[in-house]
Amino acid sequence: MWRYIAKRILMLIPVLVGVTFLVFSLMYITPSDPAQLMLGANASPAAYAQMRADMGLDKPFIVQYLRFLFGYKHPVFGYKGLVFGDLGRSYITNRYVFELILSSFPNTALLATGALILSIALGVPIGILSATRPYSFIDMVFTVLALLGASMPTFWVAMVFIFFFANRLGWLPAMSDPANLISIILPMVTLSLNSMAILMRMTRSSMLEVMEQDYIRTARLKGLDEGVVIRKHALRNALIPIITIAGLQFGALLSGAVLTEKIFAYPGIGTIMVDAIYLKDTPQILGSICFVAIMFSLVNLAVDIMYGLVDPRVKETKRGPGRK
Amino acid sequence: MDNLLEIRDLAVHYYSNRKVVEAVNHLSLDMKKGTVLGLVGETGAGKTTLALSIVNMIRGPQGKIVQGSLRFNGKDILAMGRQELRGLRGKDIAMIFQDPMTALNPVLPVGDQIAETVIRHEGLTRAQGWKKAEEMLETVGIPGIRSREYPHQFSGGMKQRVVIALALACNPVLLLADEPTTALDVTIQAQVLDLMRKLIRENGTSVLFITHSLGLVAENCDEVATMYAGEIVEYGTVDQVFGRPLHPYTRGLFGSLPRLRDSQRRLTPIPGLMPDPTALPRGCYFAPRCPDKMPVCGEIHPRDHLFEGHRVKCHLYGGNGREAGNER
Amino acid sequence: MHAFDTSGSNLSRSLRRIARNFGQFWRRFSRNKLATASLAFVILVALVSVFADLFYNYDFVTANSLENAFLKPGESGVVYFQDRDVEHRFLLGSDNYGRDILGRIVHGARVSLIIGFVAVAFALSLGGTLGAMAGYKGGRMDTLIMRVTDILLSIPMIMLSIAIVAALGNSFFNLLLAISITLAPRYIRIVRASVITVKDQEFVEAARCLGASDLRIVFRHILINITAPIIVQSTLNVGTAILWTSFLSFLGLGIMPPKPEWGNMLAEAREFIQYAPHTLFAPGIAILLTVLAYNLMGDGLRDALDPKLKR
Ligand SMILES: Nc1ncnc2c1ncn2[C@@H]1O[C@H](COP(=O)(O)OP(=O)(O)O)[C@@H](O)[C@H]1O
Ligand SMILES: [Mg+2]
Repeated sequence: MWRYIAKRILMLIPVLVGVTFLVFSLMYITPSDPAQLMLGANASPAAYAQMRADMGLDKPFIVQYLRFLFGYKHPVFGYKGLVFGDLGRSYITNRYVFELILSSFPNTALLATGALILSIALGVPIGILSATRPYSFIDMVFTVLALLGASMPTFWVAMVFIFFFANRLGWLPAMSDPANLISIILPMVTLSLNSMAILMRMTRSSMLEVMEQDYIRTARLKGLDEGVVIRKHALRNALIPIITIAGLQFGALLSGAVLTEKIFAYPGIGTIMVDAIYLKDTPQILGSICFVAIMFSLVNLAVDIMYGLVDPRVKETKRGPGRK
Repeated sequence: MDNLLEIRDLAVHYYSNRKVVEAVNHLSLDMKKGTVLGLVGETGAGKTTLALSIVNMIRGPQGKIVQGSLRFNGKDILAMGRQELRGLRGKDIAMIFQDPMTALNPVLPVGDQIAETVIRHEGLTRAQGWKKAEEMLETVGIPGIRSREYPHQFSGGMKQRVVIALALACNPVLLLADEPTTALDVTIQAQVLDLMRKLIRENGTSVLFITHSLGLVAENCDEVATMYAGEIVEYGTVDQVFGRPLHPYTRGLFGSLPRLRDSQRRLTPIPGLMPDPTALPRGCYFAPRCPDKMPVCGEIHPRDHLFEGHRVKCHLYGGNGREAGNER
Repeated sequence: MHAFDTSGSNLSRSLRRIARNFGQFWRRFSRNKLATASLAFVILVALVSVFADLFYNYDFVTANSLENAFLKPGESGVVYFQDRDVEHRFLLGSDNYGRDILGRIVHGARVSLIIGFVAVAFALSLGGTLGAMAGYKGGRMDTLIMRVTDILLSIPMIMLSIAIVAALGNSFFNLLLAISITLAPRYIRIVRASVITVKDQEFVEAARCLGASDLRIVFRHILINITAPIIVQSTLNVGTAILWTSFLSFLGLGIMPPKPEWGNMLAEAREFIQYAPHTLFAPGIAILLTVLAYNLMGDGLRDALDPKLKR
């Protein structure tokens, strides 16, 4: 088992290097010019050239990428590099990007975790309920709801919720702030709908599939109570794919949070990213995207490892990266 | 009468794609205590369906027992409540499936799967249950310490041994063995059968032994029933049926008996196919393939005819034997 | 043994076979009421977007008419358009610039569908080619392509799109590119897996021995194998692409106003949620229904094309 975990962690390293490389390349080809951003439009060509040299923008691409990873020595623009937890400073606010990200990530994680718990707490039991009464009225109702949930544009739902629950009914605040837990309810519910729908459907089909298996028939033939058959024999098996899906949903929720935050003016990593994109603040864009991508990969890795713990069949066998 | 099991006029249907699959039709069959009854027939004849009906495990919405009665030790199985049925399953009647690969739960240790049965039926504690599980494993030739292992850590033959241990754990009165060796290698088949035979003899268990192989029936059974399109077309002691097979279908099966006793081979001996169970013919179901077909066979469904306990459902014997219906 | 079919050419025979298969497929598909309804809706939306100009003049739905701002659904107003005043009834009301919301939704449908279909076609050809190369060549090529795929999949998908548009600047083409690149890995995996399975099968070996051009054989069998999953995946992906387009435009990274697009309509509506909620509902419902229809249709196709999966 430990060897399996170690191997999976080692396999992650090239992927992470690739991710940072990809995001860095994207920012490299971006048409915006940081030197000009720093100086304004009216700078002299000499000052402009000096600024480019200071910022290290005159160096070849690969050198710039290595500096991004391992640091860049300069009295003003220097930083220690991604590997050492330093992503440089924002061009706009001059704040350290990594600190900014670290201070806002817990907010995003709070939102995503809350939404995950909510979607598991509702999605899985409803999925089981549907599976034990397939094609019944209640199953149909939840099927339609789940289909709606999976097709809804989250950003629109966010606004509709704000309209009803904040503007019309005045029950909940439209702006959200991690210090006030009540205010997180709206973004959390909004964010969870999609995952809840997916978990509901997956639990249902996974349960239905498992209930058809021979070993369920064996369990019933042993004279076990239906409750034991469902809980001990069916659920254990059905939950194996569900754990994977729930884990992948956590990744999806992290990125979903990033997109929902802005609408609720919630101070998370997504707000940082979107603001940075509007302002063309390269270090902040680069930092926030890389950070979310790394988190996403780590979560997926954790899911894989958990999968190995739950399913006795996995153990030493190699599995590909968790996503389809 | 000391019949352990009495099946009367049983009919089981499956409903799929707006069609009705008539899997078991007006089937009557008795089993005496302590006998081993071989049930032979082609794939799709309804053997598994019959076995599942005996424990009332035909499940809706696809499947339904539409008619008939099942008596086990004099008690009507179809009238039993859920609780009573559960007390019966795994305790008095156990079942072994064809495919050991899928019969065991992959995420539970094999010991647990045996233990929970004995805990359920014999009121043992957890520790006692596990101990019993280990004993059962030892009986089928698997070291008790392996009880903590998961099914995927066992080979196919070993898994079937585990399944046998599981089935026999509560000393069932009746064992339904649905092609217990078909999925195994030939060499392993023999071992598993020897083991089953030994355990059954020791415990005096009655067995419904479903198989494709007449060879296995001859070796293991006291009585034999031939099943075709959901009906028992011939029934008798092994001596009767093997000595003088009456039904043309049974005779066809003997004609196709492989020279070497190759129990792997499927029975597809007689030209033609079984009738589509969603559209059974009007007369005798076997008529379209029958070498001895008479005009009446296409028109009227034959009745049972009895010759000293040897029963056959065929018009050939209409004039000679007594009709079973009169005797009932 | 060798009974040659003299009644028709190879072509007409395979046409007949296709017709028969289609008949079977259609019987299974049409049994699913939701999927059939979705297909009807999808066709309706497609027709509306093709003939958008018949319903609403493009210039009319993009021109400001401030005196008609925020009309309620069903209200009428006088619009100065093409050098004269016209009386116009705003069926779904008007937005903050006094533009007809229904007209913008109708023209927005065209934008969404074009992006949806082109992006999926592009992703399919890109992913299909790479997947086939990876599966067929194997070795280094395979490793390289699959590594890149893993990397692409390690970035949350919608964020990858955002990063690409943010980097390249927003334009219609960059939006297409971003969505295609993000969708491509799914196709890479499907095609590669299928190529690998087919490549190792016996009949391919046999065909090679008989001297048939192996590429042609492999290609034929792969096509037969992957058509169903590709059709299903692509249907679902059109829905996804429409959703992403609206979201990117909502963020200001896609189609910019005054061009009509469902997402940018919502971005504008956002400022006025309290004052004019009708500007918020219609575009959102348009997205919801369209995406839902593609998802339902995809599910229906999956069930109809792959009877093994029917539940
Ligand atoms: N769950 C089911 N749904 C529909 N038809 C079924 C089902 N199970 C079995 N059948 C049909 O019932 C008939 C008898 O099947 P079965 O009892 O499995 O036969 P056997 O065990 O002799 O091979 C077959 O035609 C089979 O297709
Ligand atoms: Mg069977």
